[in-house]
Amino acid sequence: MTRKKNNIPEHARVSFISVSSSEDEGTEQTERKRGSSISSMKRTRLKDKEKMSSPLTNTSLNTPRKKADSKSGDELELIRARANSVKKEHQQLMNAFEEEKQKAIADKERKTMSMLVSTPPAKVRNHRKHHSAIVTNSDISHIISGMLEEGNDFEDEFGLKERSPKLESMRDLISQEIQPDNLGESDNMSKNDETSFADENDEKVNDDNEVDVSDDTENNQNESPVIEDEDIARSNSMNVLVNRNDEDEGRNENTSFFEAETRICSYENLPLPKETESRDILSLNADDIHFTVIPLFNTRNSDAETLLSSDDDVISDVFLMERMEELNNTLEKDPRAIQHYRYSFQHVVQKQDNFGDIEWWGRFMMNSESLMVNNTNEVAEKLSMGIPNPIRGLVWQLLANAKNEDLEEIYHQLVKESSPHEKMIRRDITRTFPSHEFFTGGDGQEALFRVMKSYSLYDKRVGYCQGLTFLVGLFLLHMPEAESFCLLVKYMEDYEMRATYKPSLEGLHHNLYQLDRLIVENLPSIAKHFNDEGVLSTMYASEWFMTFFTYRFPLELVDRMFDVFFGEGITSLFKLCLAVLKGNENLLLKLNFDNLLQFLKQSSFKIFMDDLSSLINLSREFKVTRKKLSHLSKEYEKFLNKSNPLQEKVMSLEDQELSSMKFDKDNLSEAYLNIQKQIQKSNQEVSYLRDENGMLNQQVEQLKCLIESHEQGRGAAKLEDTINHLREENIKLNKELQEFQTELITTKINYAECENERLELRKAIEKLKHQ
Amino acid sequence: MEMISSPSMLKPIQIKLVLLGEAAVGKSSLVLRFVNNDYQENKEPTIGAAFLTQKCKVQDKIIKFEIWDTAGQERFHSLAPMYYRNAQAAIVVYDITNSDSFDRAKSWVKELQRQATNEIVVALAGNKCDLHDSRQVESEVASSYSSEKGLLFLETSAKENENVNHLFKEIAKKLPLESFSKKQVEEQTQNSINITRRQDSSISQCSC
Repeated sequence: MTRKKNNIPEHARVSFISVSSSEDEGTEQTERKRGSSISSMKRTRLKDKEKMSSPLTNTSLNTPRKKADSKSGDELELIRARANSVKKEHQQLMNAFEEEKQKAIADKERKTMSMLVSTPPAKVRNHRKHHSAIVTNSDISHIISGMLEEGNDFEDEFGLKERSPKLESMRDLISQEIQPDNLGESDNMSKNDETSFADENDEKVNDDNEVDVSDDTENNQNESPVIEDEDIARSNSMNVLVNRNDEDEGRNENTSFFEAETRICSYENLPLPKETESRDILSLNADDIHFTVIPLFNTRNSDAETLLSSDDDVISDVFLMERMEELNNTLEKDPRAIQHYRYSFQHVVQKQDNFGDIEWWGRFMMNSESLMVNNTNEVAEKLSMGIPNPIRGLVWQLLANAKNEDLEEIYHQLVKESSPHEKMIRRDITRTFPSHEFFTGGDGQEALFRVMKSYSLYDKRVGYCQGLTFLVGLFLLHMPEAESFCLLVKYMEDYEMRATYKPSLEGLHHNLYQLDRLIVENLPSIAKHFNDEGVLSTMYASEWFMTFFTYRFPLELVDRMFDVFFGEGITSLFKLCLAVLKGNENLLLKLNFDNLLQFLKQSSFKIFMDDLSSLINLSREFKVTRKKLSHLSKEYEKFLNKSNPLQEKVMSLEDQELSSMKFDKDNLSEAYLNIQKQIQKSNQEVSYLRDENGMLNQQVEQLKCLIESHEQGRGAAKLEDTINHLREENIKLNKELQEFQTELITTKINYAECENERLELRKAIEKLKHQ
Repeated sequence: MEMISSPSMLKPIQIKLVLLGEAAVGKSSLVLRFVNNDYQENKEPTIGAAFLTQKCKVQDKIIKFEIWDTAGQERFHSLAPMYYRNAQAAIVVYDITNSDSFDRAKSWVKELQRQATNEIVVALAGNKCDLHDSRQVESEVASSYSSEKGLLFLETSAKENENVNHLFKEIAKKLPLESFSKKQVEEQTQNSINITRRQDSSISQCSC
């Protein structure tokens, strides 16, 4: 076992998981007793079947097979012995199952049983915990063999004596598995002998009469191709795991089981489908990059009948095989692709996710083209019920005819080139689903970046448009990047969405116009209310069209919308818009502008979340045909081409405006001439005024002089007065002076006379002295 | 500026405000900060346009900002006129760490001055000013450009809540509120239909 594991790359291991609905503890123990593991022989058988049935991989069909002679008699004996023990166990299981069935029939609620599908029994769980991350083959073979026995019992009990070839083939495989010797041998063979392995397998099956081998299965084997090393290596890693549970509460344990042990996928809130008792699940161990397939194991009477009556009785196996093959191919090409699967299972949603009629989906996968052409209504019906999430991405691609190797090749080329939009894309990548786990890590962001960059190179006219990242983000949750790229190309080209993203956004304007008109016709009260409140479709529906609702709507709801869209085309998008409005009609009519916009963008999906189908069913009530859309489109074209009455009015208004402008122009030129004349006049006036001004200035000067002289004159008079006054005074003073002079003279005379007298007196005195 | 936390008897003056600017400069983040006082690291790009409202009290008057937050990518340009037509205020946002976004802001200013109403109050906001280490547009350059064009100018950070409320406050101050309130009363009495005229009962809260 260890060796086998080592033989193959970790990322290429594929498991085969079967799920069934009912079991009891006794069965479980029986299963545990079988200490065998699934050999590569069994896996080879699975591989063979796949090869035979898959149109993609049947290149080696009809390759001549060697006769297997290598088996020794001893080994055959061993096989027989082992087969006998299987038979005994079969009996035990029948008994155990009989009890179980009685119980189930008594309460007639086998539906509940069916839901319990995915929880492994506690013992298996515990057992598994002792192993490393991957479910070991021996674990799985215990379980599957028990399941197969039980499945047959169930069928027998329900009178389905004819055994399902699918069950038979699985039983086959298990019986081979049970041979412990096969393990090593097959291992060796896988290395050394390309051809004998399958033959040996056949031989063993044929020799062992205890195991019923249906003709179908045998024929299939006869046609099995030569097995190549690579195939063996891959099939070596196929594990079969059966998880069952009878108790509802077990489902929660199941979650932890998967997460703790294999991290296959999150099963929280797994829906309890009403119609199916078992389901197929493609799953992946993220850490070990380990694909797991859980095929249908149908135990319900009616479904079993369907199964048996169908010619494609191994169909679900086949398509799952095909899917595994595809996943493996993808992995070989691009190991990074694994990321997508990890998240695609975590993001699935669980509430209300209807796994639907898995048989039908199996048939669809095989004959999608003819079904889409011949059974249009049936396909539409199934799509409206929702595509089982594990195959959703694949079905989308089939619906969109997006499986295109040439395109993928182009992608692988483009991804190496650099785009002028890179900077802008890079800026938006971290802003796409920023709270989604897948897009917060580097891997998801890088994948998104590469797809967007490649598309911007592939379609240079569109380049990169904001909003596309959300769309592609959703694709990447369902499929690897090259396939996402192809689907994006189809979405843009075949689904007529390309114009929406052109630099002019012409498609968006087109869509919004069409939507407006459809609202008026289908939801007149809403149309009126919106009109009253001034709400235009561009205000709330731009993001619906540009991101296909992924911008705000929960992705599980958008998945369902895409299921319908890829089947029906662009008409469904309008129906969905109308359904969103219709579903909220009562509330919408009560809201005013502010709240309307807020509600339409943020909360309009909430009413559908309890039952995702309600939106889809509501949308199917609207009649929007391609003819209607193209009619509206033409109407819009006319509107744009100005032949629309409104536009004509605008045109005539424009004409009027033009003629009035011409009239205005004439008037204006006249007015201009007048003004020029006036200006000339004014100029003359100005010069006249200047002259006048000059004269006035002179006068002013003269006056100034006059005033000055006048003022001077006044001053002179004053002076004269003063002078006169002074003269008079002078005269007076002169007279006084004369008087004083005369007085002085007289005084001088008097003085002289006095002097004379004095002299005489002196002489007299002298004389007297002498005397 | 005082934000209103309870319904007021006063009739608010409705101001239609539009945010324009290059993609990823932080238009939505500015609005988110102003309206909800919140910040998200990797805000999704706006597709088409988003509409939000916020009431504030400025100088005894209650203003209700009706904010149109537009998509930044060039190809959404054709949708912008329907949002800035009849707008009383506009915030043109650029990213200080991206000189291209400043050029784009300039062309928006030019378009607004040519196409929008004459009385429109235009503010230029240099966002992400917390990232000064990778600054490409100098504050002085933007400031002198703004005064040349008659714009309000502030450097903001929606992340660090820097200048965001201040920006709206400055716009409110610059608006001719008197004439708006008169005009709106007239309109109401005439019972005319106006896209931007609606009443709402709930008033969002804003910290300021």
